[in-house]
Amino acid sequence: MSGASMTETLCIIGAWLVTFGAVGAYAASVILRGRRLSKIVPPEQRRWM
Amino acid sequence: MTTTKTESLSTVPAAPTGTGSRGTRVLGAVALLFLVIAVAYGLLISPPDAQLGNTIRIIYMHVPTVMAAYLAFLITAVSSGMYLWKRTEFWDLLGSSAAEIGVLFFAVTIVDGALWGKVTWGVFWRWEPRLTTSAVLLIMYIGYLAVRAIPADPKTRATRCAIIGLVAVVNIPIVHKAVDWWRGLHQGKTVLGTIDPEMGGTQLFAMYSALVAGILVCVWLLIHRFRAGFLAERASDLGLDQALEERRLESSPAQGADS
Repeated sequence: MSGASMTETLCIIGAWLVTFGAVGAYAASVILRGRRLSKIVPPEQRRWM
Repeated sequence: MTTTKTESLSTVPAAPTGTGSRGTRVLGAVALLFLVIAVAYGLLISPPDAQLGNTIRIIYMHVPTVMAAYLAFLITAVSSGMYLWKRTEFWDLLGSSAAEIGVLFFAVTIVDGALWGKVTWGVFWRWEPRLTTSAVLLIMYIGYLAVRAIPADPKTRATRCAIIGLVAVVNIPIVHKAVDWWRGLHQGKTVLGTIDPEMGGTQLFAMYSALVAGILVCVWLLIHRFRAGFLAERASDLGLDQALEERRLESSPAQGADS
């Protein structure tokens, strides 16, 4: 595999990994934060609008 | 009597134990399905583009993330306007939640674009019109989140953020039209313009399935982030209530001793 082809492959894989990694990590953090907060907030206040 | 009470209690749905609901689970499953299709077509099934070669596989991620970011920023702008009109917590929370998600997707867009630039132009970054205006847009929304993090009265904070949310959105058409207004390296409009008419069927299918997946994930995230924000506000209120109660209890014996 040539240098240019290697760079291309790495960049393609990198782009997909960055996209899925960043969005997945953010989604996990939001869901975990929601679960943690749900334990603090009383049930009667756990209603969104 | 006891039976009636139990029956009436059983009709009340249990309080959620997180930010999920039946609706978000269905939405999440549909988004996941489109993501699987996008991965299969984007990485494996679709052929390389005649002009872009295999780098079109980066575009399959770059375009959906920028679309999701634009959607989130538009929701922030609409919510900002609605907050200034209605002054309700709902619009403030929706606007800030959307801004955070927009920053996430737009940062990913810029990184994906830089990786595409490395292959196509030989460099990750060039200060050309589309990239420069994109950087300004990202910085403006990071500013929005920074202002939101400054300790202030909730209404003051919400008003400041709403004004920034309305000002920052003006930059979106500038980013979008930058390729027409100024000469640069970036290719012509793809989003809200013409997706390359030379694209084959499987390439178009890969692009549109990734687009749908991106939008669905954005909406799914927005619902979860809004609910997490709502819970954070309630937790903050509780903390304030507790602090006031502790303060009241601390001052009560002293008042009693004085009298």
